[in-house]
Amino acid sequence: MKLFFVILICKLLKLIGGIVGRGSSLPGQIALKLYPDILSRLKLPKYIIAVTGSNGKTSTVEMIAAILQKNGKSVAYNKEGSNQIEGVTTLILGGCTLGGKMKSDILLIESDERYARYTFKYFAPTHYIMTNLYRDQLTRNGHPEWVYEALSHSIHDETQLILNADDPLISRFGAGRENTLWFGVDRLPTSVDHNDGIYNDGIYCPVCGGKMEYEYYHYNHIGSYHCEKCGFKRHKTDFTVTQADMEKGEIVINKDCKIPLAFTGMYNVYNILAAFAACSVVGLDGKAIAGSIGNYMLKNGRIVRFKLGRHDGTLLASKHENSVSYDQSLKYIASRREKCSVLVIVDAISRKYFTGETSWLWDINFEHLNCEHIENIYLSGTYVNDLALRFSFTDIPREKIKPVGDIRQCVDYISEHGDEKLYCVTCFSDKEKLLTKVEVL
Amino acid sequence: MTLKILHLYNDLMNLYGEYANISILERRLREQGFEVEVVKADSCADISFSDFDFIYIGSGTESAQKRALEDIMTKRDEFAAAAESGTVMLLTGNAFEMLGSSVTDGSGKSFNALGLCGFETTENSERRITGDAICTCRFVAGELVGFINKCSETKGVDEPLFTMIMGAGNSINDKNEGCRFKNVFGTHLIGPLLVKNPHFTKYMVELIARNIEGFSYKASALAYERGAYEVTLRELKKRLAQA
Repeated sequence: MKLFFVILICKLLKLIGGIVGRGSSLPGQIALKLYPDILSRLKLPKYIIAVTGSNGKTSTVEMIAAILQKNGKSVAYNKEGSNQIEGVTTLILGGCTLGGKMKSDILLIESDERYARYTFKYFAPTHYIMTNLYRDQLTRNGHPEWVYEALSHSIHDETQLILNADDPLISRFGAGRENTLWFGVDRLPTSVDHNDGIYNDGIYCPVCGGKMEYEYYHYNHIGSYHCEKCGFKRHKTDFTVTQADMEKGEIVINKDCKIPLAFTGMYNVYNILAAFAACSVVGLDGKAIAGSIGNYMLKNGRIVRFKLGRHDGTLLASKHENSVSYDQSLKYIASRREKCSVLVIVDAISRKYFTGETSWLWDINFEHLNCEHIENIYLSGTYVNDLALRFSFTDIPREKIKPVGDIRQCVDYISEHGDEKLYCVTCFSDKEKLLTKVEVL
Repeated sequence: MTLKILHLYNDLMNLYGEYANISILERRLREQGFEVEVVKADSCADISFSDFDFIYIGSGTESAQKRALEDIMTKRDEFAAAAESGTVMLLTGNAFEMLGSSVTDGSGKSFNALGLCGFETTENSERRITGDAICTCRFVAGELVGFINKCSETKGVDEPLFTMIMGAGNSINDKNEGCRFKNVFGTHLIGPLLVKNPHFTKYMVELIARNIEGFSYKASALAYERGAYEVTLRELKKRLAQA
């Protein structure tokens, strides 16, 4: 009887919360207060797929859901990105009958990496996708090894892991787990033989601390590696990007599944690959998956097109406190080779908490923007001085760098000058400060 | 006149953009008319500490710090001799802990450290202490800003470096932070401390050049540095007032 009432309360709160705009986390929080182990009392679907890691969780989950739905499966997933236990509880109870049985074929969970151990205390995912571990929000997370430790407590023996073989730290989770599935990207024309980041988190072996050697890098510490000392190395892969033509915007998975890309960034390729792996394990055919995800445009606001004056603009939402995310956006802009300007805004470092910490700016390789086709680099927001100082340590010609602290003034200035393409690189915490001042397409 | 800087464990102890401390110091020293040579080393095996005018180590993961410690202990006496002779050194984040007598990890295993100072550090693998920081320093006018990101407590520091106005000190309920031993400075403030605090950097420059005949500090504008510092201090003070 208690189960019935708590589910009912949660559903009602979710309904009310949906109206007042606070429906994703609070209902679950209250349900957990009333019934702390409620998640262990439910009849969950045959497939419970969890996705975690530093970058790409929300996009990967969105793509898995889109593919599954296009192929006739019903999926419950946390699309608002409430990815701690409260949000997951709201999701699950919201999708249950009052008897505690989940109605959908598949439960798909985006999980925060640091708190996954609490979410998965009362039930185990059948499949657990781990995308990558980067320097991300270190003001909260400490460092990647600290997150690795926290994440290791969230893994159940009966869960099948689906791991990014190209990330050494993530790959450690596969040790001694026979049924693990692996995804990765083969050497591509865009692969490089050196780490093009400011720092190299792949330089030392995560197992023994010995020096690692890379056969190639895709970006930062993602690539094919082996440890000279203990033999730890990239695992062979079950789901593989075997070819990619970034000029054309097309990848091939497992040699025969061609997927045209709406967006050619390397991180998008990994997200699609992870989604491909997830959908394969629930029994979808590779060709069917490829057919459902070709040219897929993400709906989560990562990429927004806009007009500003005579400029065509693209916002590349990147994460503050996450140098890999920035590097990916910068490299994408560099790779486009079209006449353009770039606007970088650092105003509120986080939308969830306050910090004045700007160390992460020094970990971003802004040198990527040192290209002839980039005409101006506008810097704006509260931390404009930190940005300008950081740029003063690049070889980018000084006259290209234009710091204008006030975002309104900066946007007005850009609007009145030039007609080149404009890229804006900023975080979710700051993007509305731009988007409210431009014409969103 | 060439000044020699050693950035030790630059690819092992580099979690929070700490290389920028070297970049900014090099720039400041060049502005004063010096030539600067920066040596980066992932081990002290081929290093003679007494060759350098400034030695820097940044922060690393807990396991990286143990590996750095194992390496530096092979040259413990030479390091101590350089420190005793007045070489200027800065150790930020958990590199600071290496100056004490021991570091004990979350499992209770204890590691001998350099022992320049008598303090002891104990890590806790369940709890991380993080937060923005404002502090004062008795030999530099004006507050300093920074960030603490650690999982340890340090006890028994005789001569602390900073007094905390915001943020965690060496241990719980301790307002004192870091340590000073002669010209060796240790602090758990992470990241590009010298970028964020131009007045503290000026102090470092003066200290490094103190014995050079005819040296007198030439002031420079540092508009971005001052702007960045003032904005950060203003924003942090706003938070402090709200708390």
